[in-house]
Amino acid sequence: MTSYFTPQFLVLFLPGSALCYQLVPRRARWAVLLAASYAFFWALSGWLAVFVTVSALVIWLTGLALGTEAARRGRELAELGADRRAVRRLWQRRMRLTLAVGVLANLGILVALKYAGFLAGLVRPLGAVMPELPRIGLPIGISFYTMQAVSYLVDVYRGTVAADANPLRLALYLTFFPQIMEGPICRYAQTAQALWSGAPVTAKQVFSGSARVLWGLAKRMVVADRLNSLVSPVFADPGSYDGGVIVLAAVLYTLQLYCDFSGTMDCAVGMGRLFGIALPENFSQPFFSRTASEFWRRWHVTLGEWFKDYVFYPVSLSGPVKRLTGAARRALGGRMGPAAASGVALFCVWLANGLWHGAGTQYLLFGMYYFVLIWAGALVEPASQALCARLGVSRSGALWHGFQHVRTLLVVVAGELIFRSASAEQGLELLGRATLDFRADSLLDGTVLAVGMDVADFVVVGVFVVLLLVAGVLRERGVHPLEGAWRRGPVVRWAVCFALLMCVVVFGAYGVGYTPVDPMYASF
Amino acid sequence: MRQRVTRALRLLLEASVAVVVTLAVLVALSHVFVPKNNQVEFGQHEARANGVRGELADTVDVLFLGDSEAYTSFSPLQLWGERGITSYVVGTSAQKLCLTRSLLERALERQSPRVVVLETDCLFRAFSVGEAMACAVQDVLPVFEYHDRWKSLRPEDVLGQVQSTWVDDAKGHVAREGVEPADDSAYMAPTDELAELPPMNHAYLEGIAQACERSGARLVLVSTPSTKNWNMARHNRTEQLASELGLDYVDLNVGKSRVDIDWSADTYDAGDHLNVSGARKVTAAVGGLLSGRYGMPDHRGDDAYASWDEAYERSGQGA
Amino acid sequence: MDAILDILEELKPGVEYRGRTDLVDSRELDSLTIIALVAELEDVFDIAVPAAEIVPENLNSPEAIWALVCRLREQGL
Repeated sequence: MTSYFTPQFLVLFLPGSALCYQLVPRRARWAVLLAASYAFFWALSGWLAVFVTVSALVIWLTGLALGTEAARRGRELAELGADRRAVRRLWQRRMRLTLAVGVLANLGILVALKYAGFLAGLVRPLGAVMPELPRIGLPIGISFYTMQAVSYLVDVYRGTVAADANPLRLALYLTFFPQIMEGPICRYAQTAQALWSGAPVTAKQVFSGSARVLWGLAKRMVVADRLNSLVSPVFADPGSYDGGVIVLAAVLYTLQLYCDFSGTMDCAVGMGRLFGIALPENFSQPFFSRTASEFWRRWHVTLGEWFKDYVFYPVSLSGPVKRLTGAARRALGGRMGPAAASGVALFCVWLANGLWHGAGTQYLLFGMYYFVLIWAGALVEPASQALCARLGVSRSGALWHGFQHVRTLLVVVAGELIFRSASAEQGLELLGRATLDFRADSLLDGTVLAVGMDVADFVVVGVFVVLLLVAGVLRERGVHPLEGAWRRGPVVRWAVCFALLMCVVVFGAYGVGYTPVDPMYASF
Repeated sequence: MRQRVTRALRLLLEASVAVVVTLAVLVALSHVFVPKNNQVEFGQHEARANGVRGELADTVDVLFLGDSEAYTSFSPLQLWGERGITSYVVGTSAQKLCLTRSLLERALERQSPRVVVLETDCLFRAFSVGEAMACAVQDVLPVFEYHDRWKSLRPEDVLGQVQSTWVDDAKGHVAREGVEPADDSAYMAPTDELAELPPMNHAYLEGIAQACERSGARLVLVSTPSTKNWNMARHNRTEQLASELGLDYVDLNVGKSRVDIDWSADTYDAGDHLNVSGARKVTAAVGGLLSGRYGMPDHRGDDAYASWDEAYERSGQGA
Repeated sequence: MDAILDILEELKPGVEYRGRTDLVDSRELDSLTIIALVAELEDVFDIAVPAAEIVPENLNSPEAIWALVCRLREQGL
């Protein structure tokens, strides 16, 4: 068992644990989930499960300490004649210290395991030598569960959730197996108590959960894994292809990444439902976005929200940045000033976002690319509005919206081209080739069909893309297809699952002739 | 209470109908997707090994099973030319025991060999529960193995019957030319260690032994010479296995059945596999064993086996 | 209360803010506008808004923003 997409997981592990969950009494259900989650972790990472356990222990102890401090602060504030300001300041300092210890311990493990080699490579030219850490590999999902651990601590510090005295519940919150590999990144308030309560699972949840898993499987196995046959060879040896093929590969890679990641998320959300857990959605039709920042509110939603809540606002509202914002407002006015000053917080967010994806220069470039685009977008917004007004272009008309859609798609595809490259230099080189060396004839003369996908493959992908578009439009209009199928009775319900299953069985890119692809975000 | 029971029963009924319908459709699809002949042109996977299904019924006396060690080392046509033994190599590269068992059972549908030789390299190749499951499911529902044929389905696939008319001319053997000498300094160095057998392999070997027993064949374990894949620890473990299961074991690397391989001339990839000249030595030794110890009959001159003479002629080995 | 409406109108003109309860959820206030709004509130009302208070419930309606301001002013005393 190496991922969700193996027969032993789909046929044995998942149905087996769902069945166990149903059979044991409510009070013991958390134990089934915890055991299954640790078994899954063990199967993928072996003894590295120690690290997630350490993280759980750290947030348990730090959370309790923060809870105690908050209670003492409360008592002192309630005392008659207390200097409330001084008490607040004193406890804020103490609690910040406690929070910092917990957060740094978690981030320290992540940095040591994931970024040590990258950092050593960065400082080596400066003559500094970092101590060589033993290479022990990455525990599965460390980038995801570390985010969950930090968010719990900050939430306890802020008082939005109470400190949890139960270390097992915190361990389950971090390791819950449907979400451990690729997220979604959950908040304590969203899942922790539900995971523990063992609430009854309804027949409707079982149906919509299974259908959602099958839909995710179809996205991944029919589209993403099939596209890999073209994307992988082109990016393995981009020098042999001209700009036209590289543009096509970038477009198909964007589609592949979307189907791979959002398909895995469909599976995660579906699996959650089988245990009666509502995991947060991670995608909401990203390709319908009109701006780059809207794209990031719709793609990997839980990561964006995490950065907004735990990086963007805290940085924006920190003392030095507040002073900067104040100065900028005086100089540039109430709208432009904050927009200009937000560059600091945006830079932090996009630096972290780039690095979160991996220790590579291409990811740094990817982050900076979006930083520049989004910040510049905010800065030129007033000018753009004025220009449109002068030219008489309606900013709520179909023409302007269409232009925005196309522009955003181009931005996204160019971003993913950088993202897929082996390094920042290669990313820039490929961007250059894609624009300067673009020739449409290589797309038409059969070169494309020789890489790894034949006409039939393109047809299947095309049909599925139409299906995805229809589903996307329905979701945008607030229609839930699975909800509708449920209301229409048993025949329709079973037919939906059956059709999806057959789609996967026949048109899935698995078996002889296909190389199995690991879920892409699992390595980030 | 009564309502709950009715609801549960209803749900159970729904689920069983759904499962039955799904299985029925998968069976029907399997019929459509399975290749209609055992040839590459019809979409057959591992056609060379599956060529054994094209042999006339009950004409193959010896089956060789195993991975690339098997199909590079054993040459059925040489066995025919030298001793008139009919054999076929059901070997695929990097074969795992779950596939070995499936291929054997498929071959036994039409043949009743007297001896089944299992090359032992694949005994030590691990496979996951998932792979074992996939193997088992594909045997029953070939749509899982041949689903990709939707690209090339024709009307005949829906209506036609499955037949097997094709036989590999070399009877599953692959002759490799070329020489890359091997370093044999540590080859078969003595040790008392026992190599570890992957978890499920014991059970699968037992299954293979039982299948042979059912069809009246003697299962013989044979280790072909290889400096890379074979060593004393594996020899020891295999010997132990053989005595546990009551099987014959012949190690061509060591002891009295050792074949005199010249490691500077008889391998094409530095000791991993044997080349033509190495295979000739191994096949000669195995031939002696088969007609000596196991009394395999000589079919040369029998008109029913004329096709073997023709294949032998075509291979040019007769000249 | 009217001061809140004035600030919102000045930051992002042309939107009817009175009676709204979905300013954040409907993305009328995006994160950049929120930062500008907070800066303005801190200036006008002499308060400090901690990051923990930047949640949709506190910003979705002019009334909620006003309540937030009142609460923070009380705490500051």
